[in-house]
Amino acid sequence: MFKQTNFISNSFKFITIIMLITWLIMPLIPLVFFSFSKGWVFPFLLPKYWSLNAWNYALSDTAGILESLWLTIFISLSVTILSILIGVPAGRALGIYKFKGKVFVELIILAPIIIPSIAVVLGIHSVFISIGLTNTIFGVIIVHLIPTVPYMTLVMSAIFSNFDADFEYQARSLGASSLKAFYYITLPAILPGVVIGGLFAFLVSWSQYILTLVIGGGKILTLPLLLFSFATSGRNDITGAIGIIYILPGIIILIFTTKYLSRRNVIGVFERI
Amino acid sequence: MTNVSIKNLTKVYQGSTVPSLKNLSLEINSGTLTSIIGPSGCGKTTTLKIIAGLINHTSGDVAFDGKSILKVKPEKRGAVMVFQNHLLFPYMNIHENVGFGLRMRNLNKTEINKKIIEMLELVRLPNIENRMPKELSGGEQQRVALARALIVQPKVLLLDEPLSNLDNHLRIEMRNLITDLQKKFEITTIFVTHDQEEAVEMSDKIALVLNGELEQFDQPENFFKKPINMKTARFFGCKNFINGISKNNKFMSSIGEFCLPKDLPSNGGFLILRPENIQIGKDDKNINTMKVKVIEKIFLGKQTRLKLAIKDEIFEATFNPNETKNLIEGNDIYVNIPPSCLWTIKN
Repeated sequence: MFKQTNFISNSFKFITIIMLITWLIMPLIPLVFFSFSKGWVFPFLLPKYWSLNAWNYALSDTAGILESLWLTIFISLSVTILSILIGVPAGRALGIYKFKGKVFVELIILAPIIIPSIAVVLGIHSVFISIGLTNTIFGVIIVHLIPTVPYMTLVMSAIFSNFDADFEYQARSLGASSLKAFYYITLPAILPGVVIGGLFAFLVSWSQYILTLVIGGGKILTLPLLLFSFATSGRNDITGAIGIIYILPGIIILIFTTKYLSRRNVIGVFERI
Repeated sequence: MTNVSIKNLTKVYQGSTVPSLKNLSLEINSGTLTSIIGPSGCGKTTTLKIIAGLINHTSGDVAFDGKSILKVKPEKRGAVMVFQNHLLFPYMNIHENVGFGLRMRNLNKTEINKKIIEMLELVRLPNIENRMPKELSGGEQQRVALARALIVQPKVLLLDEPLSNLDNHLRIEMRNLITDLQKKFEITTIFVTHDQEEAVEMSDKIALVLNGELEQFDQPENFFKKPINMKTARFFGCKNFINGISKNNKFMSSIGEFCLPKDLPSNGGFLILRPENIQIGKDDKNINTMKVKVIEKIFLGKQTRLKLAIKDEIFEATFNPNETKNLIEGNDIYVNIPPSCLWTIKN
């Protein structure tokens, strides 16, 4: 009896791992093959000729791919930092305080996630033209905040609703200024939330296509834009190389933040008693 | 050594029309322990939080040694609060928790370490510096919280029901610890509780607050001997109120006449008969003697509670179980009340 349940749970584990591999890792394999090959066509299972041409091109100065990588990193990091600066106080207000119309405010905050960005961006575009924000990095950063701030705020409001504000009071009463109380007491408690919300913000900004295209006017070439143009031009090898460059930061960030992704951390160490 | 004076303190919470605290005035002497007692929601904790600077007041004033402190930032007031839930910072060990206040005052490390060791010894928890709050029992956690507050030598110590989450025997131990330390450091202490016994045992003075209003501010024994009104008497466990009129040191009521102590003012109202002041007599020769019928007898361990009836009036009395050994329900007995134990209140 015991052995049998063991067998079932083991096979479940096995199936889960297989499914994860097929869905998450398998689609990446062709990218690698494309990037290291010279013509890989049906019906061959492996490329006929191997080559480093695509990588040579992708990493060269003339291609502008590295330049685009740095630009994308700059934009996404700026968006992440701004989202944290906006989302933490907003989430704190929603999580801790009670006020009239709170449900309404929560709904409004969710709106940018629910409404497709293409519907919003055209209106914003005309506004941005009139204030000169189109075709600028700054304009792109601002427009990226539309989908990232709601995630950040929602994550932080969940974290703060589990945080007992009396801990801050206790620190104040023991002689900590409001800044010190935040640094020593509140920040360690909400850090997992900040990391997870920041990760969301970074990845949402990192994979943004439509918003960058419309507001950047094709002048601000982030990696997704570059990737798309190479993909449509039929250069599978270069697309593969950019594709790999494109997914690397996400994976690196994920590895660095896994320790914060456990459930206990998300709920927070300062749970209400 | 700090006098605390609270003047007409009022608090109306946002979105509420009823004030949580109405014109509370208290003069608290330096180095004394004052309890604020009342049922939950009466405004006790609100008062402490205003003094600590954690919430804003609506009107009135709080002064330490004559200087208003309501505009001073919470961290500069020198009033430290200990909460009902110990609120030890969960990711800091005991050493860091106790030293937190000193670290915020930028003291040097060797001095901080020395003080932490001294303080933990005072709360009888030596050698636990490296443990985490989670690894301690409830009583230990609360003692660490007390040490963390005392180590900064506060002008005023504010205790918000620090014992209410503890077991009974721990609570009694903690009461002694708190009063010992409070006397040792001579810290002006305001202690909030809903437990009457706790307040009476620990305090120099008690303030009874009901529905945000101060009913009586007095020494503990006066809440039993000289309650100011019926609510106060009730809160402190008196159940027997006899309606009547007092005149020339006599109290006339439907169940008979009582001799009163000499210094009581004459007026109409209620005679207060505390259950523990009723004595069993042998005959009707004593002063203030009545013949009563025993309706109910309940054994409570340390004492026996009797329900006694005279005519239509029923009242409660408590006795040493030895005295009531031979009594059974339905017996007629004589009881007498020494005049010095009587007290009257106005209507």
